[in-house]
Amino acid sequence: MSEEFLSEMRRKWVPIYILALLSIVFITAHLILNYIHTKNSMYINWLIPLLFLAMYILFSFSRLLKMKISVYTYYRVIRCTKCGYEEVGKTEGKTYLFSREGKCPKCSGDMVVVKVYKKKTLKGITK
Amino acid sequence: MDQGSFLDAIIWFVMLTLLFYLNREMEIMRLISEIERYLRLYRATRDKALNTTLSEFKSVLARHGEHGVDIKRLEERVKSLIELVFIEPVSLDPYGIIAKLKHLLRSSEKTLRDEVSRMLPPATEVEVENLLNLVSATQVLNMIYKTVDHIYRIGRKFRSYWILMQLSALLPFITEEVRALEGAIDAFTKGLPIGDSVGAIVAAKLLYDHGATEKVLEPVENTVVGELSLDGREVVIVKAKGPGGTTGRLDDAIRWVFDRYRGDINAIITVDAALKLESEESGAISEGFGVAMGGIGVERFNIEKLATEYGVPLYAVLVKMSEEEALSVIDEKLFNSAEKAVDIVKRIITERIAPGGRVLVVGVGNTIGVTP
Repeated sequence: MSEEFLSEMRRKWVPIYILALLSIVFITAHLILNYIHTKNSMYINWLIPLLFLAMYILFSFSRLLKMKISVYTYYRVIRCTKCGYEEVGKTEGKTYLFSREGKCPKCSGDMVVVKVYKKKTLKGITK
Repeated sequence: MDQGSFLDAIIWFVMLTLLFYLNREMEIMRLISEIERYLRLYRATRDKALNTTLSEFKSVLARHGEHGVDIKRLEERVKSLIELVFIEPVSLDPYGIIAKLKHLLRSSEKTLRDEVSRMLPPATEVEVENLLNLVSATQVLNMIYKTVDHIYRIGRKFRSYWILMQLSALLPFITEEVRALEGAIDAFTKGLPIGDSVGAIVAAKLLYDHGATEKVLEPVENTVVGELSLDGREVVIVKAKGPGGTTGRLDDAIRWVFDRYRGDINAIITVDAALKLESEESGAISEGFGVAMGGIGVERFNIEKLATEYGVPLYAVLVKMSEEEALSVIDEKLFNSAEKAVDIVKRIITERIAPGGRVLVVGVGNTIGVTP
């Protein structure tokens, strides 16, 4: 929930980062062309802070892209009380540990929930 | 060389002072924007928890048929439950504080349970317990949001750098707690075991492995007691009654066991989840002495008193986990640790209790999703 909210907040920054990087590319090209035509070192001097800014934006943007949110899947393991046959499956909830859950497909014995757990997978925040 | 006029010096000092002032103002603005970002997150989490709680109440109602329940009134009542407060007893004179705390806790629990049952007459016991847990988690989220917001507003109102700075320093810890409660909302909606259920899982697994699940008694409300035999030792198991999300009344149940066996108990082993330090691994198991039990301390106090009265040694088995893991649905690693903890409990029993002895194993923690 909060991770989704955070990713939603951060996702809003993606177009701003792209716009800022494009602007830097244009300004850099403009400064380089001006330097070539005028040979005025002032243009090159301006390039240095601009490149630092570009590096900072690229670093922040890459961190944003690398960000992952956790997605959980829930599993339950049921085991036959007679023959020990086991089945692993997903559950949506209301699966109670050590409660009976159906009959064994092999020997018709009682199947009991012996394990319930969640597994985490990571998903990128950009769609 | 020209060293500048007196006016230049004054201007330089003014500029310098202005720079310091602006620097501090900018820092305050940065802190305000950072705290506001966290506050938005807490508010979103609180609102989501409230909506989940409301929809869970409605879905329970839908499952059983509405039975003439006014939905609008139900929503209003749930919202007012979220604002409920628990006033701790006065502790200026600490004599008798435990009894007072226990009375307050029990009466507030009972009143809330009755209230939810009245709101949803057809709801089962398990559903009522899970709804109470949802309400309780939402209450805490609401309180966290309101407290942080209060401190933020005071800090902003007085432009207090230090108040804002202290709040900002605490935000990572508060966020951890908010995340943990968020996980709890998910777990209580699904009714699946949580990390804090490891104690209950260990107790239930011991009962299940020895075929004693069906023979448990409920001598005390929401708490079950079962018996089994392990390598010539008699093992009495106490745990909260599942699969509803409750922690039971373990101290009362232990008192019942002591009365039943006239104090003839050789040891008490408590199994519970414990908060890990950042450097510790989740699922690590620690053994120790004493009562492994969290909460306000009322039940722990009563168990310690009883054990001291009868001279019974207290052993503890702790499964380490983070706060987030303790309150969200249990993961495979923690579940495997619970299974390992069962072996450790068995080893403690065979090593420390002589054959023919009797030992009490207490599965501490919320028993959501765990039967019996």
